[in-house]
Amino acid sequence: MARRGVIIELQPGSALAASATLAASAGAALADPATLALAGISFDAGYSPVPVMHPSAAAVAIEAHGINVDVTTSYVIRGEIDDRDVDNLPKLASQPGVLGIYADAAIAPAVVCATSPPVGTDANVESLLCRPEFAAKGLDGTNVLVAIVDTGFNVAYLRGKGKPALFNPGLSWTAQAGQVPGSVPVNHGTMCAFDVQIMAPACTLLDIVLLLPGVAFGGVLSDAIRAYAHLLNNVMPLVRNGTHSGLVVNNSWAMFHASWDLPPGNPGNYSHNPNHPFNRMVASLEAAGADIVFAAGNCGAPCPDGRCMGVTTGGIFGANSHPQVLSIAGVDTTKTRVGYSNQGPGRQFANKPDFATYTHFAGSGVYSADGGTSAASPVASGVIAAVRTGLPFSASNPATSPAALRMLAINSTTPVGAPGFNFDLGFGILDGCGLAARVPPADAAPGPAVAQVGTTASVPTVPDATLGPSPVE
Amino acid sequence: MKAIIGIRTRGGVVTAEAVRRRYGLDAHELEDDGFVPDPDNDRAYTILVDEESAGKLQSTPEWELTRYSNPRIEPTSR
Repeated sequence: MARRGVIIELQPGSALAASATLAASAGAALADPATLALAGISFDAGYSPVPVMHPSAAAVAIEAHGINVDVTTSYVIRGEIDDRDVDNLPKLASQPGVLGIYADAAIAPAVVCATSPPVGTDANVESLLCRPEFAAKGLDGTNVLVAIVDTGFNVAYLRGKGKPALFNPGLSWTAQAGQVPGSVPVNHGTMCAFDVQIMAPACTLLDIVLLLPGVAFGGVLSDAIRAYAHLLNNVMPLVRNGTHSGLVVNNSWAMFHASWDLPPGNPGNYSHNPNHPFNRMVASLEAAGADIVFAAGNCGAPCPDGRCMGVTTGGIFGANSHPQVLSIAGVDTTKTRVGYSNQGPGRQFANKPDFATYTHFAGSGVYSADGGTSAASPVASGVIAAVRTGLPFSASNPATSPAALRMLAINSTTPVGAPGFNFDLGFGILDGCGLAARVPPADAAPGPAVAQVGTTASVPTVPDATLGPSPVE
Repeated sequence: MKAIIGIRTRGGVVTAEAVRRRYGLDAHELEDDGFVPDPDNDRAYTILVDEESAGKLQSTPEWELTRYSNPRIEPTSR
């Protein structure tokens, strides 16, 4: 039979209160709760009685003597009643020595939802992720390319917000003629570009304008295939020949509902299907050496995005749950999961998301909060770009592979709740300090090689010993 | 709107022009950047063709075609 928690207030001067007084003065639990024989109530023996003032007595004491005077008039203890006795509470409370019985309601932190005000600022995120520790080692994204695959960003706006916004227009790309990379109206992509620079202010941004802002505010996967082909064929060679230290690809977008797709089991399906051309492009780009980061999505309980149509489980579809990408959940700056952050399992690879970083803070000024897993993803991308400064990709050194870097990041997380993986936050919250300690300083990393695009330069390897403990996988 | 179609061939190098010739497509229906060779499989290609032209394409024993989902994608906040 179900039990319900209650708070019992004991009558001042009663035998029960006397027992409680003794226990409270010793800072202990009730010595023998069995002596508190009240019909229909079982007591929590581990709960120390708490003295409380009667409101009227408190008012008199404060007025006459200040708040430090001892005017204890009753004690509260904790217990349980049978759920079926809820309607009998007045009768239970009328027993000798009992002043009242109250609900011991479950309490929980307030949940951040999409329309909640921001929690903290980008400066808090910098601090939480130990930006000074990264900076002390020169890990700032220098010579690392970060592709913002999004609605496009606005360089002038970013610089007006104090960000360096180093930008390579020649390596940028747009799905539609007429869009000018780097000069797109301020929107979602500008927020992402700002958030990458929280941890990697010296990275070089590429504007990959995939999604249309405005009323349509989205795109289709066929354009993502073209965008990734551009990154694979025109950008990745500059990393593989050592001209740049890495390519980080941020993707703050998703398919929100299964109805947007062909059904699972259909050969043309996207959500579950590693053979879908876009999922194969993701695998190819990662195999070539790119670090690919995806937002986990915003369909989490208890406050999913409306586009999820009420489905809050198993909504990490397609590339957002690809085994060769990092899938990023969101926590606010109090390290509490935001209420919309997608929960696993993933549809391509079950154990998703991988870990969480920060979101829903006041930052870029594009929106009242840099929110959604849309913000958590570029925060993570910035961390990865900072790490690449000290750990440049080298095709000849497996310790610098995207898989090794993912494991390095996963092994630098702090679990929330029980140790190990869970579908809310993956392996936990990214621990920037722990990660910074395990990455070689930038001045220990090999410098950029002078080589032509399309050739393979000889890049010195980073000794494994500099990477800290081995990844778990 | 484009259709995503996978081509798997039994052999021989395929080009965008070869696909156009085979199926009677013009350069607008299949643009050059809509022809994407699979980097890891030299017998696999992805083509992005106009939705209304997709009906011209049929599988043969030599060229096996698969029509893939081209779902809408949207930002994960707004």
